Amino acid sequence: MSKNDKNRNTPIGLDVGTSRIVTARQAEQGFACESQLNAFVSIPHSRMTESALSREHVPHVVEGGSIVVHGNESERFADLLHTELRRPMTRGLLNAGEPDSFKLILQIAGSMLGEVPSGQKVCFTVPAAPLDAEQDLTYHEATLRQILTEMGCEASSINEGLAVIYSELADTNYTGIGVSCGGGLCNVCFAYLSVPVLSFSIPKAGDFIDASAASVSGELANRIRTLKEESFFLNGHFPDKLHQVLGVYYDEMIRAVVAGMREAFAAANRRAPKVVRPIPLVLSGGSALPKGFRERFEKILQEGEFAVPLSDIRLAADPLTSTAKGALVAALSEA
Amino acid sequence: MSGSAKVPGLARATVIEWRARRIADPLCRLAYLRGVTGSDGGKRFGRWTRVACGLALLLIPLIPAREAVLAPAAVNLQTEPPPEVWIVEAAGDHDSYSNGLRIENRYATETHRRWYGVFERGRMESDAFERRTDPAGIVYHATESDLAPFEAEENARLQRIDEALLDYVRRRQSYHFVVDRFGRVYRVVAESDTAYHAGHSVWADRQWVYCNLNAAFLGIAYEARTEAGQEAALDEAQIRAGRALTDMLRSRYRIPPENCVTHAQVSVNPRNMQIGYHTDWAAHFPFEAMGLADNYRLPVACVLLFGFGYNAAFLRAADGRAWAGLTFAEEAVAEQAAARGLSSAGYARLLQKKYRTKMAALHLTGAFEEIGDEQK
Repeated sequence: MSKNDKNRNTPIGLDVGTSRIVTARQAEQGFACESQLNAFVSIPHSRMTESALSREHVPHVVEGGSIVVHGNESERFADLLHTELRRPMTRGLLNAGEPDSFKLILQIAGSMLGEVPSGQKVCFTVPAAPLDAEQDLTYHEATLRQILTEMGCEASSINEGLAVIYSELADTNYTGIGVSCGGGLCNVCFAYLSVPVLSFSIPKAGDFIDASAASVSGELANRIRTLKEESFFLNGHFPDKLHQVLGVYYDEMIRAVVAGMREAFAAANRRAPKVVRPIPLVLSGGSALPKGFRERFEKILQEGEFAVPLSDIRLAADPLTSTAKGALVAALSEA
Repeated sequence: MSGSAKVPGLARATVIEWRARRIADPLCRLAYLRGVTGSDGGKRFGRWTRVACGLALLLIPLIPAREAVLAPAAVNLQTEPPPEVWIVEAAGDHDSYSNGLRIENRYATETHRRWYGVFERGRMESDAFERRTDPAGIVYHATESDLAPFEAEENARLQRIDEALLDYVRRRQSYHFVVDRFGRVYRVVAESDTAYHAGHSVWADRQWVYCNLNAAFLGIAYEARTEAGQEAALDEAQIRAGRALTDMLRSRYRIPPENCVTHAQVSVNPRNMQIGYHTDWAAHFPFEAMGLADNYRLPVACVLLFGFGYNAAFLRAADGRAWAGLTFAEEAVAEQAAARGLSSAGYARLLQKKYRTKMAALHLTGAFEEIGDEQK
């Protein structure tokens, strides 16, 4: 995509996830998406390092006595330095333990959006409140809106699970259940004719799997995540201990999501619209990438009753980008 | 973003959904839905969205054409007519046909001569029916019986199971024909007679509505199991034999291709007004291999005409997906309901009443026999 294409004032969908930031734009044929890790590493400053990074076009900023490398490149540096990645966000929200989280997200998002014309429409994703827990999402949403406004954008927001529905369930008139299994949270939304009826999040997601598996195996969580996304199969047969450990924690995450869904839908049954025909459930997000995830989810869901009849459980066409695409679809439907 | 959004009631939702389905462009459809439900947070649509959606909505007729609802014309299921097939030799213990079909008569039995009543589709308000004696269609079944591995070492066991099965279905007069694992075709009940294969069942073609198909349709059973989530594998010999048998019956009785359907497509339970009391061939029936189009795309008659519903267990049997014909029938019912200002559920209840009065009419005139519990 050329710089000019980037700068056209067409809406942008922006998925601000704990693990990744993904942008979606309209392209000649469908959508064009770009993804960067929502992470960084600090390395000691030296002129030589700084010039090497500039020469190699590695996104970085100099902060006092450190160089901060962010986005996808941060993973390579973390691996080289054998250190953990740092995150501007945790559990779906801005990381209170990282004082510069605001600035880092501004930098990562800024590098992806490029120079935007004034009034650029951007629809960004926000998580739902956790089930059975009071959590104020206002600060998180307001901060992201401020970041985008400072860049000159006209920002609106959409719930992550609803974005999945807007991206994947056009064929059912945007009626169904969207589940986004991300890094910090799994977001669930039930929409009826595009209206979000029920949404909540479960604070067990990819990071929980990575951290739990890392603590058992002694590996770095970064490496666990890479392994999980590139070569892990959720088919019940594990070639080694690490895969077996991952399988255990994947199961725990799925069971937590399914239990949350059972509880929330049973509680909402009276006020939810009467569903005349079975509805689809669509799975998306980076944690839904391993082969066999959909089948495992379906099996666990079928172990017990569920308040809403389901027609099918499907995987998003591209689980990594469907939330950003849904945000773009929301923005385009208002354009 | 959804502060002002309101979930529409069932009647309003039916109308909204019906209109939305007629907007081809997904973005435009979403804009329409968000506008009418308020899930756009009360935002006004942009200029181009307003223009595009306005045009799309203008093109939607307020009331669907009656023909569009009643006829399965939206589904193109044209197939080649079957070749002419004639009987070459009737040798007592078997019959041979010009297309290579051989039917074994060793297990053949008789019940009573077929006759049945059919309702005219264009006169559904009337309970008058026509009396017929020729078979109007074919229902494909699976025996759902024990299967041994299809291997040479298991030959003796395969034969034993085969004989036990044939003996059993002969005693129960369960089908007109059985196609065994080796592709051998057995006549069980004479073609001229009623076999007790379909139980409570409904089907309709373009002109006629058939209720309780034991007499109206011929029953062909494959020795096979059709378990939910698993594709029932017919072997090559069964497919060849089934095709030859289908061609012979279609040629001999002028059976239209849309009347060749599976048991799951026609089976109903009048006690709870749900479809799929029997679910054999709820998915994966090889219609194409039988010289037919994908008849799962045909509107499901009991839903379309008599307001039957279905549940999750049925969908599981259908491999988790509603057939295109099921969705079509449901949408047609929703459209008819909307056109009458009724909820889909309310309109379905009216249709169900129609089913019961038609059954009563057939029952009073003896046009069908009581169906025992074991045959439902």
